[in-house]
Amino acid sequence: MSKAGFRDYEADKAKLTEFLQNYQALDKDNQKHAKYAVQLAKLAHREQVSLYIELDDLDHFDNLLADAVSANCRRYSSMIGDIVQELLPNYKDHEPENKDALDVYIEHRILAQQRQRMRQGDENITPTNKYPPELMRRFEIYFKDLSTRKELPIRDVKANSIGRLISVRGIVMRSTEVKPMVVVATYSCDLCGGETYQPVNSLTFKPLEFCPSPECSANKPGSRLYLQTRGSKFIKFQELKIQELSDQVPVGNIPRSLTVLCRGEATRQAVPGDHISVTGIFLPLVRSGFRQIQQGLLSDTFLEAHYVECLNKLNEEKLGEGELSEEEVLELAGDDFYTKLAASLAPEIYGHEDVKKALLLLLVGGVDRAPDGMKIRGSINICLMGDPGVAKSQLLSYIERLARRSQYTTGRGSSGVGLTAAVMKDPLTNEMVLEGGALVLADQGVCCIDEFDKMAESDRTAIHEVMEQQTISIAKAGIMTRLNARVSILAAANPAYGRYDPKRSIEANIQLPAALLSRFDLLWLIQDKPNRENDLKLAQHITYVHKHSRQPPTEVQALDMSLMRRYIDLCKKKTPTVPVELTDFLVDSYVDLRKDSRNNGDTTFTSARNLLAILRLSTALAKLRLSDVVEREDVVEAMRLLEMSKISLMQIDEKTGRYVVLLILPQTFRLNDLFDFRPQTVVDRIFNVIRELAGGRTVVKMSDIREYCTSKGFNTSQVDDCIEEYEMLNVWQVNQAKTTITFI
Amino acid sequence: MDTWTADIWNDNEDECKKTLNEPGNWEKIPLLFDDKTTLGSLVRFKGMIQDMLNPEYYSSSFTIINAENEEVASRRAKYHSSTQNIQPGEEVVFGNALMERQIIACIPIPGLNEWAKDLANANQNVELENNTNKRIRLDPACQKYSKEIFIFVYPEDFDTNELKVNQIVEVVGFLDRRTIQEDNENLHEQSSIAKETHCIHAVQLKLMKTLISENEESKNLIWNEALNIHAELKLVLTQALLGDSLVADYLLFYLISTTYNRQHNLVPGKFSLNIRGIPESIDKNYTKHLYSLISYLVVKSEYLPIQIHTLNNMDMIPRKCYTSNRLLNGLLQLSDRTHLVLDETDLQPGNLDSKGMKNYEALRNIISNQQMKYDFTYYGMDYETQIPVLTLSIGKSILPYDIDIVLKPDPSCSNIEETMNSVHGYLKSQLHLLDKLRKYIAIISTFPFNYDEDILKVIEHDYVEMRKADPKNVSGDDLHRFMMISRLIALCSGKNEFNKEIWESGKSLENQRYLRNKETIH
Repeated sequence: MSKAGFRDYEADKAKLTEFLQNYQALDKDNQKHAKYAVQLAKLAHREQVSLYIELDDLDHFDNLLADAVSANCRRYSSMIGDIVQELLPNYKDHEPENKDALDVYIEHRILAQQRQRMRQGDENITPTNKYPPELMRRFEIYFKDLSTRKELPIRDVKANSIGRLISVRGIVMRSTEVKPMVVVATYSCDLCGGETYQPVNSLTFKPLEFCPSPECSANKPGSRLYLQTRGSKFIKFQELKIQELSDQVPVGNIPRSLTVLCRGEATRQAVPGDHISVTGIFLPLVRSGFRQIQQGLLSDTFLEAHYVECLNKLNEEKLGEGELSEEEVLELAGDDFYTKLAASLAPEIYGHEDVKKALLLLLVGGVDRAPDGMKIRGSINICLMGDPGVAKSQLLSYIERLARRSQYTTGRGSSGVGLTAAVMKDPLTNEMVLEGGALVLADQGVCCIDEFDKMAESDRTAIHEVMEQQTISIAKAGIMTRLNARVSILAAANPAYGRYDPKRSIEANIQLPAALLSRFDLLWLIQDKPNRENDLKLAQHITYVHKHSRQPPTEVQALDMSLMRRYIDLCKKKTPTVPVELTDFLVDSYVDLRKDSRNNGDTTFTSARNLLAILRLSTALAKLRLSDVVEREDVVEAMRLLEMSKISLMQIDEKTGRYVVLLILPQTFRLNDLFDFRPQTVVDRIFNVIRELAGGRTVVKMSDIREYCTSKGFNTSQVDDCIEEYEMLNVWQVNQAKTTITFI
Repeated sequence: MDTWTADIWNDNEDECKKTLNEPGNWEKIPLLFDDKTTLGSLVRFKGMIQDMLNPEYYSSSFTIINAENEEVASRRAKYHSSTQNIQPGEEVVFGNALMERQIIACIPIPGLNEWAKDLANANQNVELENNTNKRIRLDPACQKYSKEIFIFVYPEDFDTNELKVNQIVEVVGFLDRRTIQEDNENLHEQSSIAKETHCIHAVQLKLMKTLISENEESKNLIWNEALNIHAELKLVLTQALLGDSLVADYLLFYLISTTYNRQHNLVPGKFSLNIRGIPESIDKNYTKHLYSLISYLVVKSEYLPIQIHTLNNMDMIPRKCYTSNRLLNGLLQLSDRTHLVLDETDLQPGNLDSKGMKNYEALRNIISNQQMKYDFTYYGMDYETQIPVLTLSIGKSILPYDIDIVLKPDPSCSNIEETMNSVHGYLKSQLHLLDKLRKYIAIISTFPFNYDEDILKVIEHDYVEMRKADPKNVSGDDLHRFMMISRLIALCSGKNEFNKEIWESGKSLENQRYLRNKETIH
């Protein structure tokens, strides 16, 4: 194929010989070793079958040669085969054991050849009677593509790829059984008794009919050839059909497929449904005889597999789209990157900044800890509740698309397998097999469950275990096992009465047991309340869409999905720790929370699970900053989110202007009805918070107030309002520099 | 052009292209299945892309060597499938350079109404033969696809990336007949049984947005007369809706609506209508009569009765069959702006099985998101659709909708049959008007439309007030709807500016609808 500059194949052969014999690679201990020479010795002793030539090594050795190899791979593949065969005797230091019949045959053949040579000399051995090199070979040569080379989508494999070594990725749609394929057919003649060999290079071959030996061809009729199965050489052969993955298909196109032919060691690597990555040579199918005439100009193509890798079992890094580039890091960096990232989640959904922030943290996740055999999950579970039509499902489906591993399902469980797992009977073998449900399939990812409230009873019990222990136990039909389900659960629940009824408790509204609800780190009630400012923004948004037929430019440009994904991957690699000095702060905050709820006449408001939630959220925040330690700000922000989620569950009673607690965070199993929270407006609540902070002191620092109030879910303008209002009432005085306040 | 062959085209490509693109010449090319068409000659075909196959590789050139006089002739293989006219004693040597061509499978446009066929393909009487493949024994569904034409698209002539499934294309190319290899596993079995199908080697290909001939002159004519045509159309529809002019307004919007942009899940301009309250007492065939009127007006439409057994048994969702390696056509594989009418009036209680559920979900997905998941066994792929859906039901529809309205027939309309016949009769007698109505429906909503910043301010302010007044019942979706209705009101009377008056009339129309719906519930 490489027409430009005909290569000097003899020179290449010499180079490759040198490469194989002398190439030194660094091993794990940084020791140089002759990578291929060692393998050659193994091949010689029949301890290894396949030799993988890594183009990385060859590129290092001679990059022009590596290019040539990758452009015209078939030729170099057989060239290396010849070289290895020539070299092998040099590496043999003892006679290898004969492992199977073919080894014995080969031994005999070599002996016979030597004997014949002694008798006749070389000259009158007819070509067909010479042993074809393939017949004597017990090794297979494969190439591994450059690690820098990107895998092509199947639709980019075009006519110009023919003859080249390429890597593609796809899903296996169909695979044939592994069958033996003849490489060299051996015949014996019934007249002269001589053996004849026929190398086969295509998928079909025409058996020889007449013995080519001099005696037989002289007196033509009579002699017949018989195919000898034992003397022939066969190789394992399997045909796969792969199809493009859904994310590689451009919008509105039909996925394409590709035929992959696997030989020898490349067989039995994948079954239908597997995601695989294949390195191989893209070749036209050689036809012979009648078909060639009939097909005329057309030729089918296939990929001759050299290296098949099944991606299902691999970790996510392999699936990743690579590292972030310099510009991308710059694009991400900045003080507001947290807001920016959160705003880039589902940009088409307007508002809900805090919910989006929480979802971002869910994607990043906390850190799993296992002190003394106890297992504390790191994954964050979030439940979104709210009236129909507040974009819960859109948020879920966006997260499902964004997360690398994710499953989207509804509580009703559309498949028979349901959420957890089921034992199924295989119709072919009658064996019992385990089939994972959505939770198992989403292991180490996100499981989005819509209509969580409508879950089947059996799934509901199983989900308790998943949400805290992160496993699923199966004891059915003689199968007892425990499957991993290290998932973050993102649930969406609809109110039982069509709309959220503030007159009822949350358990009544959602119809889920408190024990299940308490396993969520954050419960969020998304409500649609009229608000002049937000309504106007929404109206502007909609009119813009109608006018300009596109999304309005937001203050922060939404980040690209793939960039987000890669950044989240990066975050996931971090495992930040909580420094000792922060533990006190955490403990204090927790104690305060408890005290808060006690003061409010409700001891059930906060529980140890909330402390864990704060820990998880703050670790996730630290991860998001790509930091190795959790900082004070992280904890403050985590507490703010928690507080905001609680506030979303409260509602202002229209008549009295009081905050009403809609939900008593479960943990107690007592159903709480409505009860008054505090007879206060926001300003009053902030005042109480400040008074609490002050304790017995008369002078309080402004910075402390700000931080403390933020952690309670108030924003600075509210705090400023409060301070101003109470100053007017002469409750306290603010100093000139506005740094402290003094109670009067 | 009648005598052109692929070889002539290959040798004089520029000249031929020039001739072909001279005005009037394109239409002169005989349509496929005209009596004149013979293998190897230039034909024209219009259809919908149903499936896109793997590319095919062919040797770009070959040489013919005559063994007797040792003459050597080299030929180009583009626009050819095989080496034709090889005389005995001649030997063929194939060139080494492989080229690729894209194969697309086209079917006659689904839902194309009879009257539009006259315009589009003058000769559709010749049925394409059914291509049943007997070789596939495993999956009976795989045998179903039929009536298809394969088109070879050469990437050097046409950017194949622009081709998308469900697009309507018109192609001019050389006619050929051969088997298409979809599968190379059972090559030997296939060759003897698989039938040859018609193929076209495309020399030029056009993507068609509408099937109505669009020249500036006729467009302007429609636009200038929009007000009159609108009145006429409304009159016809009011008659057909038994005297209900409010529903007639909404049905008119449904007929002319187009989606005008697309943002992820947001599809402004989509208009799915539910007309409910079709009285049970009236003629059972009323919905069918109504549909036949709609199909008489729109270019493409499809009627689907929603019943338990249709949902459970119909193949609505396109599905990939891996035995034949083809996408199997589903009923809902429709090109853009095919008006889908779902008739729920004959729905009886019953159980949906899993297929029924899937079909139901597919319909839901089209109505709410204008997209559809095709089934590829190992995964589903979303395809964007643009199918306006009208549901006719007695009570509230089981399917979602953007807008619902209750029909209130005039009690004086007692004889449905007669009423509908008179509508048809009227249209048939006024052929000139009918032609205008059809064009109007097809193009009126595609005219450019402007919003003024000032009016947008008014709208924003209005919305905030509405929210304040009734937060429970007003949301962003309502604003979307108001804007869409107002836009349609403006466009259908030939205005391309948004003003306060139109906004108010949009709101008042919506209010009328709201009151109508409310009054019938209580």
